[in-house]
Amino acid sequence: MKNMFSLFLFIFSGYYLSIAFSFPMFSKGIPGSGFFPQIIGVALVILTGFDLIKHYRENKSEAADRIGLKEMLMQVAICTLYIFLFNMLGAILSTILFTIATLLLFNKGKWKQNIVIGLAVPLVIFFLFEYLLQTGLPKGIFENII
Amino acid sequence: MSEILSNLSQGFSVAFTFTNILLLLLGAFIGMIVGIIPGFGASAGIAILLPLTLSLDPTSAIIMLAGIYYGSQYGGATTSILINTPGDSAAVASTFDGYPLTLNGEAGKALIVQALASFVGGTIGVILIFTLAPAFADVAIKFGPPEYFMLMVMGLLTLIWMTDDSKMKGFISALIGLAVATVGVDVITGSPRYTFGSPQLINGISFIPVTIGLFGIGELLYRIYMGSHKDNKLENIDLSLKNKNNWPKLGEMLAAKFTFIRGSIVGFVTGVLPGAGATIASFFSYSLEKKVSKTPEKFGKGHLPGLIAPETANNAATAGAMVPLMTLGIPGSASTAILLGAFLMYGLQPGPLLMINNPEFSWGIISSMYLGNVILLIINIVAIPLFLMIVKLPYRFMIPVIITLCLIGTYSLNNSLIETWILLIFGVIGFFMKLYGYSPAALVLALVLGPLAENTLRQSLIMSDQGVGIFLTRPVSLLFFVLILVVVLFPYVKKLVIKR
Repeated sequence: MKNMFSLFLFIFSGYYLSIAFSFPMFSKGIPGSGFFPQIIGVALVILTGFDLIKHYRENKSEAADRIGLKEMLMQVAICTLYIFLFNMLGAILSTILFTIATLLLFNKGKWKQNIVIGLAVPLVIFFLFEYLLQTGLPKGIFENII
Repeated sequence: MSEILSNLSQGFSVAFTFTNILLLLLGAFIGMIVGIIPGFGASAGIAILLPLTLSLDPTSAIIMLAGIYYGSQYGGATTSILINTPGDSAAVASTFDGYPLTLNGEAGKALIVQALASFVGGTIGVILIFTLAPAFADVAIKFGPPEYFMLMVMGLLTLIWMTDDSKMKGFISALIGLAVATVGVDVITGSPRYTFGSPQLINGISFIPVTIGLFGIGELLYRIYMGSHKDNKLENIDLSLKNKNNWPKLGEMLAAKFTFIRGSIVGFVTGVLPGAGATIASFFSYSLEKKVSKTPEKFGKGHLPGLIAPETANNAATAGAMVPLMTLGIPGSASTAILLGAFLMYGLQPGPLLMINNPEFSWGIISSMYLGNVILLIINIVAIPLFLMIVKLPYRFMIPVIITLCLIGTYSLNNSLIETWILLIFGVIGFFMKLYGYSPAALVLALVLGPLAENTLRQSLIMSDQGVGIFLTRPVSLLFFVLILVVVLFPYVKKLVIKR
């Protein structure tokens, strides 16, 4: 995974630099819009390149401390779904579903506790943002009710 | 002297309004709680709660955010002392003697001494701001683009160089921050960059979803990955304030009076330096105290000066870091970078003119910091049982609350779903950065400084007709260049000296 992340940073740097070259380094004799991105891009490509080589040489296994890898990935998946549903179902319903789903992951088997927290937390947060701060959260299918 | 007094009275008249005291109390309290939650420090706290302050007027909002900022230094050491787990990196040095005190059955005393040390550090720090900030502003007003650019380079380099993690990874992190900062319209030529035709990216990528992602979501994912949601190792400790043994004796405190003063001054000076913040200050102060102590062998075994030194220093450093932030507009750490972002969001441009144009704001904030330290001392002692409850609160219940606050907070800033996606993406990136030793703090500092760094660099080159000599021919700029060299060479010189 370490190598993959280094590779990702290297590819990102290369892509960043390739676009930077499409901006002019100098225009009308003064540093142009490409001046700074090109310097940053070159530095990034060099450093992430070294970083990548270093990691490939080390190539240590890092399985030892992956206690919660599965939970972590599940949590990212739940967050992704949450954002997808945020506008569609509205802030309240999607947050309730999200909270309960997260609690099911970490607080297995305690249904009553999870449902109580899963309803209370989103309602408090919704009230805080919607009524005290008046932010205008999406209401989704509750549009006409609240 | 009379100028200081008039600034003081003006500041206190702003700080002493009902709303501002209430918000200060709230900010300080939230800051302490954020400090207590393992892994979450001032940066995460300010970023996550920034959206909540949007409906307030700027002075009140910044008073509250600053309360979170220095309040977290009070809370950070609570878990250092009780369970040997620092609340944030600035509280790491507090575990050295804090946790042994708990093992010796002196947890209550350690917590009270920690509160006292934080109070002394914070208060001396604020007094030093009052005396030094105007002088700083006077010097800063003469700075041109080359000086500003060199100062920013120095701040970023110090941040990267002073950490023990890989310097290359620190560099990469800062460069990514600078790269993200170039998204949007180039202010000098007006041409769009990296916008991919999307109107949402014209104004660039806001630092708020990036910061909340890195420090909020990223940290949380890291905690889940490491299994923090599973352990809970606090045993029952007697922390009753009625128990006389839980209070430090006057003699013990008087014996450490120079530790209090040394720690505060070391902390403040370290905090003023760009890039060196509370964490470095606390380590520095601890090792200095051990060196000057007549009984260095007691350190690490539950020696009170070993707790007082880092705690006075990290609090004084948070005060010290406000000086370059307010007088130069240049933050030296991730948390002050987020504060700078908040200033800009409210239309306040920190810099030498801030104190001249908005004296009631500047002095109001600084006075409120003085008041905040008094409030924090009181709640820190009175609310010890409450904080014990928070320490005991299982992490698994905090996970959905923190994520929901991050996500809804980010959304509410601009009612933008794209920003919530940016939040999640940077959350995942933040997780990997933390896991593999990159520096989210360097990324955020670079992201906030990026536009200013680019503009001052280009303006300097325009001024000098494209010669880089301009950075070496102006005296102040040259001074910064020399300081940069000192920062860069310092670790190597240190190694050589230690070898001998």
